[in-house]
Amino acid sequence: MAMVQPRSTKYRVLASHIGMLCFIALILFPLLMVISISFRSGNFATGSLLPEVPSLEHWSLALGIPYTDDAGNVTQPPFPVLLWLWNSIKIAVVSSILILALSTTSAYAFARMRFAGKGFVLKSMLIFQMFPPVLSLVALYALFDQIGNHVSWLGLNTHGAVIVASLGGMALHIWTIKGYFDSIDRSLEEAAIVDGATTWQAFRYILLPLSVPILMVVFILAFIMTIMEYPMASILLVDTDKLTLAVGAQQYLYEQNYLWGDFAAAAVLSGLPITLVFLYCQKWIVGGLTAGGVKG
Amino acid sequence: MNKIPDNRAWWLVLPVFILVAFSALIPLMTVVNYSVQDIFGPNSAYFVGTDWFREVLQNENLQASLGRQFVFSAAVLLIEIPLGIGVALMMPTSGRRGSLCLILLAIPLLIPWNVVGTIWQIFGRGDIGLFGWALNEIGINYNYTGNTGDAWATVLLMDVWHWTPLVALLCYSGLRAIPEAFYQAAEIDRASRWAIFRYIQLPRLKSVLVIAVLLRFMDSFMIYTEPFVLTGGGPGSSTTFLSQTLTTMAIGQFDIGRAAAFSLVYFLIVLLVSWLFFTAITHLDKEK
Repeated sequence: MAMVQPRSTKYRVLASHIGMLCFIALILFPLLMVISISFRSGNFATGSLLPEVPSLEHWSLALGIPYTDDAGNVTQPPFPVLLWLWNSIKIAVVSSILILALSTTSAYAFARMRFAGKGFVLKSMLIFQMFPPVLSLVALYALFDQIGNHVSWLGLNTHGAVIVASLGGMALHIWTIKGYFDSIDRSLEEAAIVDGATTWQAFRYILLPLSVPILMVVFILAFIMTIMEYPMASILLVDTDKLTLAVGAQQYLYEQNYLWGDFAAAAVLSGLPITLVFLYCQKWIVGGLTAGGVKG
Repeated sequence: MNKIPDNRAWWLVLPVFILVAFSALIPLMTVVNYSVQDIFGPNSAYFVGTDWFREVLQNENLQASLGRQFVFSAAVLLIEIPLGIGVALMMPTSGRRGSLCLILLAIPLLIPWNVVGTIWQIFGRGDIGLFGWALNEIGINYNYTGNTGDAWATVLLMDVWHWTPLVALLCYSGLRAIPEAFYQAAEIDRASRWAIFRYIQLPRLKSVLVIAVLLRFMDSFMIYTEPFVLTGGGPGSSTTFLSQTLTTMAIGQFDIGRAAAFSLVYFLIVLLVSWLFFTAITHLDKEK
């Protein structure tokens, strides 16, 4: 999209650059403050943006290393932050891979096959998705409590339950992938089938490679959604060593004792895996969003 | 290959349908079940019919929080949609700077929601937070835990900070999909910047904007984590939105029948507004 460059272009470009910089500054400022708090000694949020006395206290505690201050006092790490991070990554990776696999196959069925009840299933799944998730918390809690009596890895306080609960939010992803499949000309696959390919081969070697951008977008969205999920995980997970980082970070903030510094370090840490995945995949994102969302 | 009905497709769809049903349909049925009964314990429940619904619709507390919810969602849409379009128009169109802008804009979307609430909780505090401190220094008496207006401003600002980038990213991807030829034609006609926006960019953005408005409406209407962490619904109940009222009712007070009836009403409102919006848009499409 190249903007037209009429007469007063120069000022306009300058103004839009300045506007953009201001907006980005507004976006970044609260984040910089959190990063700065995580490097500040003590548990205060006051002080200048650049810490006068930078300290690694909170980071070493977050990474599980006991911290010794100048006076020789040793602070033990209060919470297993790295374990929480590992839990979060494990849950997010497993459920986003499952979401991607399941929604791709069923999107294929919706886009390329005709079967009884297709329109009904598609629409009803989208409507279920509008049911506020917070409202189903109580019901899901009771449900997993019951299941846990029979299948131990799916009960309360297990990661299996969180993963299964996160799989429910798939309808939107199916719609996104289906929209993309619809935009790919099916004559390509038909040609392959005429040449003797099976339906599976046409799907695997023709449709899938063409759909990589949208599949990346769905993977990232699913990854972000599950790693940030708070209400469900906070209700299903109980033990300290089972928590995800999003739930665990909240443990630093008691009514009486707000450990801002430790919280800030854990918060920055919790943003890291998503940021890395996002940085790696961002080149696909704009293409995928464009192709999935805009047609005609 | 697509003309003959092929019910083998059900094998591909069934696992997903079961999962979605498990995490949405079963809770929904449970809620319906609760909403017509008065439950005292595991084995003592009485059928009460529509009593809960009647009571819920007359409950002033719920009406107030429904009203707040509508005001909040409307404010969110009115601020975030135009701002998002504006930011998308200002973004560099390509190259390294474009990617950099994309990444920086996406950062608020990559932060866990409860952390967003906490960041703003710190940021807005008068004693230790930069934002609150700066406002107090320039003579504005700002205190989001005590003053209703300040609490609203903070919650709104937080939501704008958190979600405007999403609108901007969607609009940006929509703008990128406009063929170059459209702009060249506009240049030949010596169209003004406003005319380009009004007659080329805005119409081509429509399908993306529909998605953006629907997403933002549904998300803001069901907002829970961020205001809960930021203000806890206070001061008083001035920033208590619908899901929080509901959660307090169901989990805090174990008033499950009333909460269930109320959540069904809530669900219907979301469906109704989304449907109205969707019909309005498709209707507009047909008139053209």
